[in-house]
Amino acid sequence: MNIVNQVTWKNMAQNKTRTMVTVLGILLAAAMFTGVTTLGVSLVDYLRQLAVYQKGDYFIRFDYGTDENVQGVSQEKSVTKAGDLKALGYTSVSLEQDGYTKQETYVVAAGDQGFYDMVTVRLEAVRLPENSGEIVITGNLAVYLEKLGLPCGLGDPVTLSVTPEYQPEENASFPELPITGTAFTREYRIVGINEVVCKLDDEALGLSYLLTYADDHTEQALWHRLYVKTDPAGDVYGLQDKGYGLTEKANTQLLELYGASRYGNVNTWIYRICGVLMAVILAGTVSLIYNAFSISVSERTKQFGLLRSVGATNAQLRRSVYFEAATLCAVGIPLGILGGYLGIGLTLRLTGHLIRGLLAGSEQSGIVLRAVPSGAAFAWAAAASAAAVFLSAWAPARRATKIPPIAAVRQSLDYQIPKNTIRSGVPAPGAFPDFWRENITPSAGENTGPLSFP
Amino acid sequence: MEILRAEHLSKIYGQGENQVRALEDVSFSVEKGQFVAIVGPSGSGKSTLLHILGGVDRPTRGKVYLQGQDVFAQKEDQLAIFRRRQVGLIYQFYNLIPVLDVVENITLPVLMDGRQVNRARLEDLLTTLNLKDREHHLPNQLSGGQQQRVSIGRALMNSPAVVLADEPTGNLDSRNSQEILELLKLCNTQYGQTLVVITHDESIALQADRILTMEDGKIRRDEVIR
Repeated sequence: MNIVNQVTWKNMAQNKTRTMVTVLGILLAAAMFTGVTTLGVSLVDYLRQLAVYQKGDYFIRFDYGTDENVQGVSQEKSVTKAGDLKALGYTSVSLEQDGYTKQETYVVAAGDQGFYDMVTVRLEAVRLPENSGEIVITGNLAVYLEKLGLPCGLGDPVTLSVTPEYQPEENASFPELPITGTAFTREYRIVGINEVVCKLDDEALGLSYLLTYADDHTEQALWHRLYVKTDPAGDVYGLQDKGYGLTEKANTQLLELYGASRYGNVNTWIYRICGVLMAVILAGTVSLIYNAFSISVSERTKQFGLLRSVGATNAQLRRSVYFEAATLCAVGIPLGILGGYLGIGLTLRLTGHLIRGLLAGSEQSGIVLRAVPSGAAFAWAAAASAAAVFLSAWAPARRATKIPPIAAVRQSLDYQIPKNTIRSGVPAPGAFPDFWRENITPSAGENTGPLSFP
Repeated sequence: MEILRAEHLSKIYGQGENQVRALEDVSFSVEKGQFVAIVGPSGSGKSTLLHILGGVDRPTRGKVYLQGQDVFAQKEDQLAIFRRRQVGLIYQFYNLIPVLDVVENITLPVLMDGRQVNRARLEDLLTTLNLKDREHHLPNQLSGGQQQRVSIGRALMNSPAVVLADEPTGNLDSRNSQEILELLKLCNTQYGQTLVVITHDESIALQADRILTMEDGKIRRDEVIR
């Protein structure tokens, strides 16, 4: 530590109370900043969890892709996560009821691990399939099977005959696909029952999915549904243009929480609001910490002058003020971040449930707004606090270097005031406003200076 | 050999009617190793002159040369470095840094320069100044005379070209005054240190090599005694 900083350090140690108050101010600032940034990040995280719950953890989905498309996506550099759902074919059940035949068609599809990681499959019972011999059926298929007198419980076998052909009745939007697969019949074990219908947002097909797991024994795929997540999120548009499927669909709900939507970005708005709040806090804390620093500097005016008279350069003095700021930051900011995080954590723990039910899907998802520890949030809070401190220290630091060394020795500074500048009696022109002068009329024989009393 | 020269120094405070002329066209020069006393009534501009010579205050007009260097031609930071290397200042009120101990105060100009402290010189000074057993005392634990001795040590530590003292004994009793004066004379005779001392005390002035008498911001008399 150089000698000027050493002097600063010793001064800080000596003025413990003021140092503590300044640290406290910085701590509060850092805590408020952390509160805001953590709240923003937590809110975005919460909304992302909800979006993932509703749609899935992907940015874009390519439908009716080929094996080459799967290959192509796996070679894309920006892809961080990909899930593949192989459509194996179609299977139908018919039920004679009330004199007419009711037929229901399902897509039999095998998802790989990526698919199950990224797409939410809401099971009502037990578990997801883990090999190509296991299947998750939908609730309404279970009803059909039951009515047909077939076993439909968990662990029961179900034999499905799967064909590559499907004639959509009036489904004009369903694309014409080349038939690549072959028909097969396979016995599956029911390991789980899905929601009543499981359409996986497949508006074009309009069919429910029966899900099995893709492994080495999985049959040839008719077509693929590819779920893709990229980093950065905006890269999905590049993939979209390449067209890794006949059709594709972006997960806008999630994209707008990653700042990559082409329309409105929710996270951008949340961060902007945080930015505004931080600006307000910044203004408040700067005035608080600025005062602490200017008190410290003016208390040390004499010392700065002295240091200058024995040869401290402006740079050394400025650095000593910044050194003080940095030291105070080093203590105040980490404590403030910790305090702010714990504070907002507690606040959300107490009030987080209030937001439930406000947003679609938040109630049944069980997802609650909770404080999320985020390096970025802490870094922003630290940066904002440091900015506040250095902004506050800047003006006093400048002032420190403006103190003439002579100010330190003012006691012995001798001024000479020439006699002719000292006046008494009638004020000089301009010493008082004219309207006032008119009322001051010296009467004869009496010395009526402006300060004489009757 | 000439070490210090002042050329047409003027210092004017304030403006217009409130203008105060602290110095008016002051010129003189000081030889190396000379002990100069500046005397004069209060308000005659002694301190202003001293501060300008030391580079802590700027003249309104005129120039100061120290060892041939035009002092005020330097930039602010160069001037600061110049001050700590070439000028030793001693004030009436000692002006020590209250949070630094005796040794730290004395070595301050060296430390500020980022240089190694010359231990031998420090020991020498501490012995000469009779501060050996006070090394780690803070200024407020010292008597006035001791504090002034510390400030003399600080002024001498860097072996400056010139030591400027502004009423160094003004705040001390006669015994301490004599002691301080002996020290100043000692460093003048022993180390050939150039000294410029402001004083009100005639007995001190009479021990100098030369007396400058100031009045109304001008040098009225310049007498070489020895």
